[in-house]
Amino acid sequence: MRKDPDAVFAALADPTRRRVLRLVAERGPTSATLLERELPVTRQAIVKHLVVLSRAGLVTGQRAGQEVRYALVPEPLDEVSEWIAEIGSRWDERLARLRRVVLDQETERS
Amino acid sequence: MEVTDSIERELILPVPPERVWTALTRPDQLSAWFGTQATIDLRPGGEVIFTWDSSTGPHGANRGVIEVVERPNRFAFRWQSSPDTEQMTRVEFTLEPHPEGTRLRLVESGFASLPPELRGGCHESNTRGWQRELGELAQYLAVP
Repeated sequence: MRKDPDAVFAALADPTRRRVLRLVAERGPTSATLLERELPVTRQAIVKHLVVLSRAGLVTGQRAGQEVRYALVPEPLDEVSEWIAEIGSRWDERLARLRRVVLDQETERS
Repeated sequence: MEVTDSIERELILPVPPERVWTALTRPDQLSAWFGTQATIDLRPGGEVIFTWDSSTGPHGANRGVIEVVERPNRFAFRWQSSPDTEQMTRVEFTLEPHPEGTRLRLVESGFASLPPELRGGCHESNTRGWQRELGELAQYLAVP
């Protein structure tokens, strides 16, 4: 396990925040002011969402003159899908052991 | 893009469903293959507790709640699939008679509570891949 996935899950739980993230992903580095034109929420709300996304490591902000431009950081998303793959491989191991357990019982019975 | 929001596995076991059922639901047998110590109150609403030792991951105990007990065909519970997350998922085992014994199907779902953007399981690890994927998703996802 590389990282606690919960921060990422929590950051992505909000639909508006997902929309913000999607826009950042589509537009490339973008500012709260630019996002405001495309979203039905206030600039202040967008800034709050960007802060949450930034804390979860999903976006990174860089100052460009008067404003901060936010860019997508894809790694945490990849980590979450790796995490799901890990859970899958745990099941593979468990089911292999289950097979052995029932086969051993079969041998004992016969 | 293939969208899956669950982990699915299927295997054929050369014993009757009743025997597989026992392996899935009796604490001593469950513990033998699950990789944890398991205690189980086998009824809908009953509690199942998995105690992880450090060899199979982070140390700790996970509590789950049993949802379906239909001997010997269906067994399902909700749990945290990993002690390192609060994310709750649902595990369902389906057992069917098969000419060779039992067809056992496992589905762990509830990754659906993940945002749709994350459900691919086939994510490219570069930004461009994600940008394209998110763009495609934006076209058919109903954005609230």
